[in-house]
Parts: sequence; C-alpha cells; structure tokens
Amino acid sequence: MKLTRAGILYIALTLLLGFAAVNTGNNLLYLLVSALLGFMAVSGLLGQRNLQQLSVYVSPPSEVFSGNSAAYDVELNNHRRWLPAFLMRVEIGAEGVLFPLLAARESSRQALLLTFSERGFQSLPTVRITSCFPINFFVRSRNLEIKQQVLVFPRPQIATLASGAGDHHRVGHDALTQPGIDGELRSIDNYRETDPLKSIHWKLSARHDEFKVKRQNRFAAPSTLLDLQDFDGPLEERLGKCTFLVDQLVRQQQAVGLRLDRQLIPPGQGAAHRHKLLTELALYGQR
Amino acid sequence: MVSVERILQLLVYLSAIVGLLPVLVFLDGWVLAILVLAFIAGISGERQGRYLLGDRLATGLSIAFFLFFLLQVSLSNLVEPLIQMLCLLLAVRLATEKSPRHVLQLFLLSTIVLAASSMMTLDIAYLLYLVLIVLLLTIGLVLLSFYATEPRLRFNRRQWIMLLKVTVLLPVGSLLLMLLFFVILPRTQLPLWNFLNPKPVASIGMADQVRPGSFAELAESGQIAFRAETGRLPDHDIYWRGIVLNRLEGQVWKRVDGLAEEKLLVDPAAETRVTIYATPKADRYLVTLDTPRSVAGIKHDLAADGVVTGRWRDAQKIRYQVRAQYAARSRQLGPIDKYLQLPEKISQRLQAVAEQLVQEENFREKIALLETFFRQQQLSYTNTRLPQTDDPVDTFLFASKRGYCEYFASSFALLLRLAGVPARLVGGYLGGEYNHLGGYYLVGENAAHVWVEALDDEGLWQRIDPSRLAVNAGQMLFQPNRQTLNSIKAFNDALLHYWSRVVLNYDLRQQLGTLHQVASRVRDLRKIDFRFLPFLFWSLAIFGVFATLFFYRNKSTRTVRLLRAYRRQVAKSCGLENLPEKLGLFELARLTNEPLCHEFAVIYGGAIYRDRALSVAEYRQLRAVISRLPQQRIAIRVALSDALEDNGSAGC
Repeated sequence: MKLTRAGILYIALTLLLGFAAVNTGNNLLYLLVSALLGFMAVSGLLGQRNLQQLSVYVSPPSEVFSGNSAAYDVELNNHRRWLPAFLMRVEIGAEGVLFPLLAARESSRQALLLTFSERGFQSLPTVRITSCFPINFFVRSRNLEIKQQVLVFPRPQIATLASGAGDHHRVGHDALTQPGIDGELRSIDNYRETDPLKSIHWKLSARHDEFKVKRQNRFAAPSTLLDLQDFDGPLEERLGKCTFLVDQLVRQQQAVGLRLDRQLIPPGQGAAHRHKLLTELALYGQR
Repeated sequence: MVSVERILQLLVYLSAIVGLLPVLVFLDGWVLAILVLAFIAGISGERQGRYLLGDRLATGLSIAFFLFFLLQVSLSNLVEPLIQMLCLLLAVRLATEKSPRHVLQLFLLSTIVLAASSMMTLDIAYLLYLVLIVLLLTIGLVLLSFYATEPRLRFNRRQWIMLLKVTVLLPVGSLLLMLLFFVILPRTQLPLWNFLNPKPVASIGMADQVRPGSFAELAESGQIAFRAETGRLPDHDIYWRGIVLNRLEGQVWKRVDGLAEEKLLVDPAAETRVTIYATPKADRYLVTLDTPRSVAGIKHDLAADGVVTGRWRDAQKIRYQVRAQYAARSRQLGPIDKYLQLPEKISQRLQAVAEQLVQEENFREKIALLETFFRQQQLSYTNTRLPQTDDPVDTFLFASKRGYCEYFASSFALLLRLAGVPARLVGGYLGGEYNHLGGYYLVGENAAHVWVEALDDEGLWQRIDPSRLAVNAGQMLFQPNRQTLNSIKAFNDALLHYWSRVVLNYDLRQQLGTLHQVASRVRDLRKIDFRFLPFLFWSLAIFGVFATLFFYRNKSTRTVRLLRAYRRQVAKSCGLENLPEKLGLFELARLTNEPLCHEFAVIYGGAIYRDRALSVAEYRQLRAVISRLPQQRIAIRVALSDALEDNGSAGC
C-alpha cells in the first residue's frame, strides 16, 4: 500500500481537526473528525476488498520476437458475487492497462504491448494489479503468481542471402510431388465441389459419365539451407539474420532448412516448419 | 454517457454550498459578494473552457487574503477572520480550473469551513450539514479517483448505477462509524482552547429580588428555562425551587446569607430523581425540584434553605442530577427572628388585617383566615395594566386587586410576618409541559413563579402558594403549564433536547460513564441465568444448522456445483437417475458422442486439469452448455444408452 500526496493531505486535515477537537472540547468538531475517521476506515475496507477474488489471464500472441513489442491479451476476471471491481490497473513489468469498471462475475479483455529483450523461454514479468479505489489516498496493489513462459524468437536482423551464403539447390522429390496448380500432371480424379471449374478435363469428362479433373504438382520451389556459421558478427546478430531469412523465405514459399552446428533440419515449407526453425533459433545454446 | 468530470464539478459546487451555508450569516457583505462572483466565474469558466483566474493570479490572491487575515486577527478575535479567510480561499479555488488537485482542495476547504462554523454556532442544523457534506465529500472523492486516473472517463447508465451502489456504502458506513468514534475518541477535562468555542450567553434567569409594582407589564418570554428528565410528577407538586428571599427592605424582598440550619424530613415515598439540562445563568442559582436533598454532576453549594448555587467555567450547557423530595417539609433548627423582620413603613390597612390574624391561636387558623381574606378581596391574577404606586402591596390588596405572583406572595408573606408567623419568599418555576416522547418536563421562562414558605407551630416550613387564591387562578396560572405538548412540538423539542444532551453535553464524565456501563454489562453477561438456558440452547442449535448449511454451501465451490449440475442434466437427458460415479468427463463425451458434452469436457478439463480456476467467460460457456442440454435429449439418450449397454453397465 502506498500513500499518495492527497492521502497525506487528508490525514493531516483529520489530525488537525482532531487536535482542535480535543483542545476545544467542541463536540461538533468531534462529530466531523469521527466522520472523517469513519470514512477512512470504510474506504480502507472497500479498497482491500476491491483487490480480492480477481484473476488475470495473459494470452501471448502466436509469435514474439525479442526487442519487438507485441500485443498481449490481458483478461481480468472478477469472481466476486456482488462487488464490482473498480479502477483496476493490471501491470506486467513496466507496462499497464486500466480496467475502470468491471461488474461482478464478469470478465474484460484489453491488449497490452510488451517487449522482451532476450530470446528463448522467458518468464512473464510479475503481474501486479493495483487500484486507488475508492479514494485516491492510498494505492493498493497485489502481485499475482502467474508462472507462464513465453517462447521469444531472436530479434530479426535484416540480411540478404549472398550468392555464397546458404546452400541453394532445386530438388527434392517431396517438393515436386506436392499438389499445386502450375506443375506437372499428377493424377486424374473425379470432380469435387471444391475444385475450380478450370481444372475440369473436358475431353476425359466427355468419355465418362462424370466430370474428371486434372490434378497437378506444383513447381519445385528453390530450397535453401541456412547455416548459422555462414553469417558474420556476434551470435545474437547471426541468429537474428537467420530468423529474418527464415521468415522471408517461408513467406516467399521457398523451402528452408537450417544447420546449427551439428544439427541439420532439412528444408521444408509451411507455418509449422517455420515455427520449428524459429524455435530452434530461439533456443540455440540454451538447452 | 455522462462524463465523470461533469458529475464531479456538480458535487464540488454542492459541497461548497453546504460548507458555506452555516457561516453565511457571519460573513461580511463584501466576502459574500466575492463568493457569489466566484460561483458565477467558476460555472461560466466550465462552460467556456476559460477561467477568470489563472494559477499564478489565484496563488497571489490566496496569499493576499492570508495576509489580510493576519492583519485582522487577534487572540480575542480569531474565529471570525479565520472563517472569512477560509471562505475567500474557497472563492479563489471556485473561480479557477477544476484540476484534480484543485478539486481535492475545494472538498477539503468546504469541510474546514463547516468545521469552523462549529466555533460560531451549536445549532442542530449542523448535523444536517454534516450528513450532507459527508455524502458529497465521500462520493466526490471516489469520483475524483476516477477523474485523476483517467480524466475523459464516461459511464453509461448501468455503469453509473453500479458505481453509485458501491459508493453509497462509503457515506453510510462513515456515518455509522462516526457514532462509534464520537463515543470513544479521547476527551479532556479542561480543554485548552476553550476560548475558540462559541461564547456562552448567560441569560438573566430568576430575579434575585422581588419588587412588586416595578413593572406595569410583565413581558411574555418564549425562552426555555430548562428541561428536567424525570417521570411524571403529581401536577400540584411541581414546584421548581430556585432562590429563597428572606429579607424585606421597603418593598423589596432580598436574599441575605448567614442562615440558620434546617433539616429536611425524609420521606422515601416522595423521593424522586431529576436530571436537569439548562443554559448557564448569570446568577448561578441552580433550579431544583422542590425540595432538593442532594445535587450531583456539577460543583455546587447547597444552602440550608435548599438554595443551590453552581460553580462552573464558561459552558454552553450545564447538566446536573437532583435527588429531591416533592411536598417535603424541613425543620427549622436555628433562630427564626430573621424571618420575622419587617419594613419600617407599613400601611394602616395592612396592619389592621394583621391584627385580626394575631388574634388567631395557631398557625393553621391564621393561614385559614388569611386565605379567606384573600378570597374575599376577589383578587385577580394578571400580568398587564398594573398600577405603579409607592405601596404596591397595599394598592394590590385594597385598590387595584390585580397582580401577578410577586404581588400575591409578597403581600401574603408580609401579612404573615405582621401576624408573627415566620415567612419567606421562594422564587422558581411552576409546572411545565411534559414531553412523553422524551420523558422530561419542558419549563419555559414564562413559568417563573414566586410562592411563600411559612413556619408552622411545629417548626416546619410549609409551602403556601397565594397565587392559587386568585379568582382566575385556574385559568391564568395553572392551565397553561399543565398541558402536554402536541406530538409535532414534542418531537421537535425532544430532538433539540437529545441534540443538546447527547451531542453538545457529551464530555469526559459521560464518556467514562458510558465505558463503565459497557464494562458492567459485560460483567453481567458472565452471570448465567439458568432460566435462559433452553432459549440459549435452541438459539445455538438453529444457528448451528444455518452455519453448517452456509459452510457446506461455501465448501462446495462454484466449480463443483457446476459439474454436479452438468452430470445431473446429462443423466436426465438420457433417462437415468444418475450417472456412474467413475464415469469421467471425457469418457462421457465419447460415449454420448454429443458435441455439447465434448465442449463441456474440453473447457472444464482445460481449466481444472491444468490446476487453474475457470474464467468468468468459461463459466458462462459451461452454463450455456448445461442450459442447451435438454434440447439434445433424444440424441444423448440413444447414444449413451447404447454405449453403456455395450460396456455392460446396468440401468440404461
């Protein structure tokens, strides 16, 4: 509990009037001082109650990169049966978000921008709920034990893939046999509602009772194997460059692989593969 | 949507008005004018967004007003300049921008001005202002918290109601606790700054001498003389004793000291206790029920003839307890010559009447003859158009035959003395209006009265009220004083009485008395009365049942209750009395193949099996699932029945 300047002023006034009441024996002053003391007591109780039976859930975004702020979803739940929660400020680290009024048995969500400076699994900073309710004389706070870890990817550092860097080659059986629309014929199949009309093979369809469609492979995408050792600079910078390139190449629908010391992750595509690569980069040297 | 700022501004102005109301009558005209201007400037500033006074100008003015106060103030004239200065500071703040800091200052200044008003007046209206300022201050300070945190906050109707419902707890709780703190806050016996309190105004009180004929008209005064808390007394015995006048100098009855001893004849049946609440009188004579045996609660001197004089410092109100005996008689133990003293000049007609009295043998016959004489004279009781002569007693008895109690008592006592019967006048009050609501007599200054005490043959002082011998005594003298207050007047007066008794008079002595009472009540609790044991037993049993139910209800948490409701609903949907205890949530979902059951299992299991509480949103989702389950009745029943039969479960 922290006393504010307004609180100091109020206490000083109460003491002054109390002193005057005792020394004058004026019962009307006693009445006023009694009311001020009563107010202090009731507001104390109400303020204390305001912080009870609350819970906070913090949902991190799907991807967090160190050094970049990301919006976390902060949910405040009021489990009390009758009493609403007022002027609740949920603070995570140095950042905070205000919930001015939350009815009993209700919850509310707000976004909070947080930044982690380190990569790897990072614990969420202490979650703290503070409130100056009912009067801005005391600021009460409560720390919440939220043992939540966030996987923070390395901070992306702009990098270009030099001709010598990385291991470029076109291949891969897997890559060639993946379904697509611009590669070689893969198979002939019955028409399904989800197929585009342009895929209907009219000649074949004419010979059968039902529509037939051509299934095609996709063009083999360029495959890149990134090696951490190929980049210059300190470790975090190299990890950052790799992170940047993994992100860029996957966006360009290229297959990307990664070599980390003795560990080799073969090239691949898709969100899951990207996440796997970023996770490896995030946890490099921390296992 | 109404902004917090707007409501806060309204509360600020209202609290300033409430704080100022009790002191308005004490303010100079120019201060009042500045206050009115400040209100206008403040309100127009709020509307236009531009304020008459900037921060620097406001600070400068505040300093100037403070210096002005310093120039005016002195030890004897402290309170009025202080209040004027506080009002001017309030005016300055009213005319400036209402930032959170200024709003707080305004609330506090309003409170201080109200506090300062208690140094000018002790009126009961203060209580109303106090309740209002507590209401406005508490709600205002809560809104100030919101305003200081986020100045642009706006709430809709539902949010305002939600906020006000909780906020109103503050003034209610504060006022309830105020009663407790008022009783227990420490008090001193002799306050050091008593000079700051409103100056006590001593009223004139009873005349310390009686001089019939000094006034042609006796002005009616509506002032209250005192209130006396006691049970209802016999109407004819309500005489309030104040002063005894024992020496007649010319036409003037006076009191001289150095009296002989008297002894009151004790009659326990006639004894009564009275607590008297009065405003201090300049003469310091304390009124008691006739005749007092002892007085407590105030420093005093009790003279042999039953006259009590008090000793007190500056006080607004005094309170004392009297142990009295109505219709009492006291025995004269010492010489009686002082009570036979006569003036030098006595009219012939009076002497003639006295000579007839002397011929009677004993006290009773003398009194009877004298009363007969008074009745024959057809004397009437009046306060108006009274002749002013050199010998008012003679004129009263033989010429005008009009007068008030002083005429009756003076002439009666003088004739008794002429007849050789020791006599004296007693000044005090007669009767009073009984307030059944408050259980006290209200005695006004109009009830001031003078009667006679005469010493009988056995040496006992007897009370004689010659005013009763007036032809119109019943109508003029006794009827007005025996009325019972009507209910509205009784309520108002009881309110004023309790304000004075409970609030204004509460001091260290009463505080100690209250503590003593509480302590003795607690001690009494230890004494077990076996008659109450069955009552106690049943009370405890009922309390125990409720406590167990409450405990059980609280123990089975919301989550458990939710699960129970879900299982009950699933069982009902598939026509079972209940579900097997060992059937888990996910198993149940699989068996039913019902999406709602899957949804319940995933949400509930996701929270509980990860050892975290359900969020409010999850709780609502689960409640919704339970409420939708009855609509899926057939699907669940078939699926679950089949599945349970496959598993060999019975009962489906």
